[in-house]
Amino acid sequence: MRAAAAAAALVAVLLVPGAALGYGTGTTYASGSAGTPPGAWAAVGAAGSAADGGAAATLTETDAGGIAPTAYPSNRDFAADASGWTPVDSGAALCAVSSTHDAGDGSPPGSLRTSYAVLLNLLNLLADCSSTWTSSSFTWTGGAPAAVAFSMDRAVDLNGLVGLATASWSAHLVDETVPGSVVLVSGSSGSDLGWGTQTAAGLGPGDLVSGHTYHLRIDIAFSSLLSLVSGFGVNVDDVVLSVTPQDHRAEGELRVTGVPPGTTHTLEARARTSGEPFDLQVWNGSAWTTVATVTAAAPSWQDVSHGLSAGEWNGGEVRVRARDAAGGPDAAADVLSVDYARVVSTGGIAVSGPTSVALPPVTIDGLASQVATAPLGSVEVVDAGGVASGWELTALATAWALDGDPGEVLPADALSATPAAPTTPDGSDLTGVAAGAGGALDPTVPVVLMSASPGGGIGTYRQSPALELTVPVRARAGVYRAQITLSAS
Amino acid sequence: MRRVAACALALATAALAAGCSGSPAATGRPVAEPPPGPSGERSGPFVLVPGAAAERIVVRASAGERVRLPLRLANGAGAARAFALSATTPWIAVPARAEVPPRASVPVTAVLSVPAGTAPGIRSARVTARAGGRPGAAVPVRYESSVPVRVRVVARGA
Repeated sequence: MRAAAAAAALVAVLLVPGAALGYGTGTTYASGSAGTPPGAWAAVGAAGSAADGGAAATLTETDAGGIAPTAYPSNRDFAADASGWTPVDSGAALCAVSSTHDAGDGSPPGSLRTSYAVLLNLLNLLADCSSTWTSSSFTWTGGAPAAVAFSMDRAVDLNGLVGLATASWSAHLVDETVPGSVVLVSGSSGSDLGWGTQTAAGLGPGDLVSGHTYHLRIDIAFSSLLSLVSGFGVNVDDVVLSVTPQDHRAEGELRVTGVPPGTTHTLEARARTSGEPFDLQVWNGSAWTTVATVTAAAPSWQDVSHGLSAGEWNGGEVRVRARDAAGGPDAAADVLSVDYARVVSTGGIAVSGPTSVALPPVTIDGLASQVATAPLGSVEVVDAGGVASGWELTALATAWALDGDPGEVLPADALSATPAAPTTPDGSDLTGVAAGAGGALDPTVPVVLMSASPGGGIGTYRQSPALELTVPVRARAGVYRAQITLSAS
Repeated sequence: MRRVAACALALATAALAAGCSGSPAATGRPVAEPPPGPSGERSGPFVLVPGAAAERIVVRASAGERVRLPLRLANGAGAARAFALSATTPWIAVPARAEVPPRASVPVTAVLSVPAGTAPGIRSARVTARAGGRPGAAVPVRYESSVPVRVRVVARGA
């Protein structure tokens, strides 16, 4: 004899001849994707099965480039003053250099200017002077950037001389956290230069480290063979270091198509993330609604279950969208893995109606039995997507027992139901749907209130039978109770 | 014929008539009688169905064998509900209760255990889910949805 603890085997559920997917349970798996970029789907077919050993569809974030760059330092156009910038002038006894804010010149007016003058150039030696402008410090915390760029406007004034003096300049990105610097732009000129823009070549995301503090430094120097000259100068304006953060995003749909109509539709999914949370949303015909947020990480999976509304069933095409839930700069390309996404549909014959009924009191006069009548109320039968094999709405009732003395009951045939003509609230086809014969309600033999013959009854139907309770002349006074049970099958 | 003193026989109410003899429930103060007819509260739609595309469950099993019967309980109402479950035969064990979120369905597993020594043949049963019935009402109206189960008991090895 097989032990009672033998492993339970799955039953073989056989299709009864004539049954179709409309009755029972049906499962429809995701079969398509849409909606990217941002993000990219891969292995979408893997979301179409829960029995593929954990193979999953993946939605990987891509850089959407949707975040505007941040510009440094804080004072870049010098429109009002040189605040945030500190000059250090390195002169000598026979040459002078000074650095100031130049309100009258610029691109537009308002710039930093370093001026140069030489008193005596002895023995034809070059007289060199220099100056350094240092910006305020700034810290980049937006993760590894997507792009870094630098530009600076400059102009050179050598009093119209050509070849007798040289002005040189260079701009540097200085790392204060891990000491070091990068040359952004540089140049020199032996003659006047009008305003022009220089941009850094070869500057890339790797030149800026998130969490490090930096400043800009502009070095300006002059050299000349002349004596008794002054008025030389270099102006700089619109000094901008532009940092664009990475903006990894993902927004993609999985579509479950061909979902049959039914009593209920349950969206079920199993997913996990490699990092940031992902919202799962469902389309209801006019808007997306978030139904869950996936936060589980490997090796765990997160199970999602959501009862779909009629709008979310969407005529049989259920649209499920996954979106990364975090905002702001995002340097990590996170991945949402979806083991499966499916809609479980149930089809059957559902019945609903009032949860209680009251009958009016009667007065026993000792001469004749008394009758109390009342409507049961509207009982609704819904056959959602069935195969028109027909159904019956039936009723049972327990015996009417006296409060405090349950052995005191009214006769078994005391309560009867008289069905009314069936109606439909939504225009369902009434062909083949008829009122039952009704009759006395008892605990064991169901009484038919309404029925649909094979070939009919797909839709919503209502029945409001009349109840009649006959109280015999010898009934004891008091409160009597009973229970009515309705079922449709 | 013995004339019974006239007294109000309250049906489906908690109102009691003063002065009536033989009223074992005459213990409390009278309460307001509900109006005749249905209550305003309604039981939402629900259905118990097989766990596959079918109208009923048909299973082959031998005496002493245990078999899982997959079912699905669907709640068509807009609020979560609890349902009572039962089977018409002790051969089938079902959870006594199941809770189902709104507009959704949940799996319910019944287990069929064919008693040892059962002779081959066909047995029929039903698994039923039940809900509704206003608590405290004198005449609650409850609703049932059931799945037919047909068991063909076969000889071991057949």
